[in-house]
Amino acid sequence: MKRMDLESSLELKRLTRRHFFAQAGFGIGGAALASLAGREAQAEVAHQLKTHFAPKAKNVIFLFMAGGPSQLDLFDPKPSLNKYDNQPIPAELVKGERFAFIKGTPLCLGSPFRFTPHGQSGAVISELLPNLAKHADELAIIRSMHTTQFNHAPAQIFLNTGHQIIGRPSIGSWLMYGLGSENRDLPGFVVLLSGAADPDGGKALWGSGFLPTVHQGVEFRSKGDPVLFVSNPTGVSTAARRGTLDALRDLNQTRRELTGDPEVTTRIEAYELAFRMQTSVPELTDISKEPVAIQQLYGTEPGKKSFANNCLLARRLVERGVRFIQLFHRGWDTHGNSVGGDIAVGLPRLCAEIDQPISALLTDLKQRGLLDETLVVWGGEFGRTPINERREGAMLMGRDHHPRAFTMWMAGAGVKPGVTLGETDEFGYNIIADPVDVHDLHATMLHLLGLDHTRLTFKFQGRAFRLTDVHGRVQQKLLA
Amino acid sequence: MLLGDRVQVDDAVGKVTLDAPYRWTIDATRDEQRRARQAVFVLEEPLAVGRGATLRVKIDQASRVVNQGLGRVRLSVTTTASPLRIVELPLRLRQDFTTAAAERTAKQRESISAQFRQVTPLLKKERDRLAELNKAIDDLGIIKAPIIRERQSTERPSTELRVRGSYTNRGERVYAATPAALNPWPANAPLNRLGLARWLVSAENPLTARVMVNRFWEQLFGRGLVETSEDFGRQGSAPTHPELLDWLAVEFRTGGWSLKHLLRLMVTSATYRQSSNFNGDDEDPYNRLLARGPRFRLEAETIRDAALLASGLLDARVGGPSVFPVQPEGIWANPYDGSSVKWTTSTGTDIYRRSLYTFLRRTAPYPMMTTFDAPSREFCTVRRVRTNTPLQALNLLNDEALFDLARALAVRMRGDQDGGVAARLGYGFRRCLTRAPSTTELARLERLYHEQLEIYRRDPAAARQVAKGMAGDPVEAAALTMVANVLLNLDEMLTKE
Repeated sequence: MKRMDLESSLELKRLTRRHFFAQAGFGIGGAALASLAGREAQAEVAHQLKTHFAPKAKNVIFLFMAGGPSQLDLFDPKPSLNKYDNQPIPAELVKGERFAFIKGTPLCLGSPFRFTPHGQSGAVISELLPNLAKHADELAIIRSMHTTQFNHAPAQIFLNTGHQIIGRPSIGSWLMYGLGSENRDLPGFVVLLSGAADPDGGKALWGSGFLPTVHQGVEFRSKGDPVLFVSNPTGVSTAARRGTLDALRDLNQTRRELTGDPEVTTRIEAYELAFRMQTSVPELTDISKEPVAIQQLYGTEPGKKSFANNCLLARRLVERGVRFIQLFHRGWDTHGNSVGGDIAVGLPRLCAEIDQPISALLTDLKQRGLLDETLVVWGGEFGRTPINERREGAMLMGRDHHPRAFTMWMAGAGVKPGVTLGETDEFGYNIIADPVDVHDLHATMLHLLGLDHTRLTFKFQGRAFRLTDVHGRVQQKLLA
Repeated sequence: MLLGDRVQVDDAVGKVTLDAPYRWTIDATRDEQRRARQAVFVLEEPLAVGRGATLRVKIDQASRVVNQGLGRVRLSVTTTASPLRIVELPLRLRQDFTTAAAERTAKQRESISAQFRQVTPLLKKERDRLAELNKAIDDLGIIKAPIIRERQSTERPSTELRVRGSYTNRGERVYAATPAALNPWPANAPLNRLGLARWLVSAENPLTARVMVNRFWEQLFGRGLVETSEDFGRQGSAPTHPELLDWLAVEFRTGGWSLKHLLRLMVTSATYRQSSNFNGDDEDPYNRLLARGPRFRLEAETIRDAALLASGLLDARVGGPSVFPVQPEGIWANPYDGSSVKWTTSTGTDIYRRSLYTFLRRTAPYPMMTTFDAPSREFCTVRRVRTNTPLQALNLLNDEALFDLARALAVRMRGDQDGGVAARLGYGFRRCLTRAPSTTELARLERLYHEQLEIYRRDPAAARQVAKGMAGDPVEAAALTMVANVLLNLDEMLTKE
């Protein structure tokens, strides 16, 4: 099979219908499958054409902490802030600043938690994440993330799609478009939700925007069908369903012979694939069969909607070659206007929900040799203020939304382990070294997957779109 | 000293704590609570002081909470016997009343009259009648919608260039005009929307008609004569049949822009009426040369509408507000879904309205729409992409809302009692595909029917679940429902050919 470069392969995706009918299922992607050659030949070509350069990571697990976790209580300790606790923050820092909720004279809020260096790297992590701290030497901590958005929905949409207004493809969709899926029987982009509520940005966070909808994230639900409509209607047994599908196949085959349209064959395949999913998806999502030791490692409770369950599920999905798995855990919006949102009470509770499962996930991926090919990313849509919000005179400890500086971390394939990138000022208010914006994060993630963010484009409405628009710098300091 | 027995907070009476020393709190932590308020304190015993005496009033601001104190305090003293009357008057009218009658402006006189009309017992009857009428108008439920209207300006619309897209870096001032590469602005046409309209439909402008003609061609044939129907520029694709495109465009324009004429012309053409079968050759898989008729999958809305029609449940009413057909639970679960935004399934036949009327929320669209490639409406989308995925198959096979349509179709099929099983199956087939089944097809359906009959005979409980809400023998009803489920999933059902 003739070798082509990715540009010309993307060029082929002029979205002619036959391109998408050429192969049923989730396995289609950037890999020039417009060719009407045999499937095996396609698969081979696909493998050669997938990336711009050798990828470090094959899969991504993106642990999205919706609501905005408090970097000042988890990863970015500020002794000065503790010193000036309950005193006015220097006026020049907040002059002309617009907050979501803070009013009046802003007072500093020190962190009530202890920070200690961990591992050989000496990465500083708060006492709220004791299990994650054991993996300190595997993490690349970015203390200098910043964003342009300070409300949840637009900030989440920005961090997931590279644009604050809904309508652009999410990063998972871009990867599906660029790389396709490794597993023909499962969606290549899976979304798992847990926490107090679904994320604010809604389904746009994993939408495919103007990319074909086949690239959108598929939500694995914890209640009802794990995948929408994967269960038969009540009263329809597998045997009854098989009988109908046999008839459907025969009747469609008759039609195929009469019309000569290869599309009918594709439809028959799609229905067979759907039938296989009816078995494979429930099997996949049933984590109760995992050994007790694994269950204990993660702290799972099969049947419940929990972050721990989703972490274990993420590992099972990676094992099956699912390309992009995104976990959303909502609840990090610690304004301190209720006990649940109190830094002293609510935040430890949230950390307890994620600390053990994330640590287990890293351990488990490592012991199965999957961490070498999986990129794990952790973070939320923005950070939190060094200022106590004290909304409506609330006496609790709370922090408002802070887009100017927050922390994210990466681990796994191609990531330089044990580094801490970036620095904030003594109050944690502004970044003073190595700023990393949302586009930089995206560029770096694509880079690890073997894609040049300036060359992964899709033409729409007369212009070539990129995940990073006209921005994005690959962060070399984060690369192994 | 008598404590002020009420604190007038503009129009609402605030809460007063009467324990001593007298405490009074204003909650002004939110912006909308920061406004003028007044408190009247009446002494228990009148105070007799001489002329020129000084009254000292002490206010302790004792609240520890920020934003709960007084700001911009103003004090006044009165000797009137009924000081509380002052707070019965809306604050905004105080000025008007304290102005001497002779010196009041027309506006002040009017606001005093208006206030009088609001309170006088003389007009109570009229006020009640007015309230009644206003309520009657509200009850009509007339939807109020803002409309766009051009605001005539004598100035020529203009803007400054933003150099390289940066909004802080401004370049030269540019004026509204049409692209120089296209036909010139018609002579004597005004520089406004009317002029633009004339320019658009001018005989000198071939693009408007071409673009429109191409879109309708695309709708009928599955792809346009120019494939990139959204892009007729240099980066779009070239037309496959340029002469045909031009001929149609001129025909459309000279025919008075009649869509009916255009569509009739297309659908009655020999090209459109060709068989869509492949005739064994696969040299033109995309049918660019139009050697056969169109054959392509229906759009999301049309698939659902076709199933509604076949099942006999379609409510074809036109217009009205959006409807909420049955959708799986949890689709609309969002953090701020408190009270106002809930998916409340519509009642009656509203759930069977055309899909065009299905309520669409961009952050949580109706699942079937996205699964079948309907755009999420964030961008203006001229051309939809068609995909083929197992999720679509699962949706059509198992969605309870669609399975209900299979039940309804089965009910219709059973209505045809006379000819036995074959007649029933044939009738269902015709309802879906508007043609009679071939002998092979009918035989296969009969086989399916008998297999399903056997399955449900052995499991009557399951039969009752499948035949939920259906009259008669549940086993037979269940088997027919499963056949109907197959009919609604046939390739031919989902494909325009």
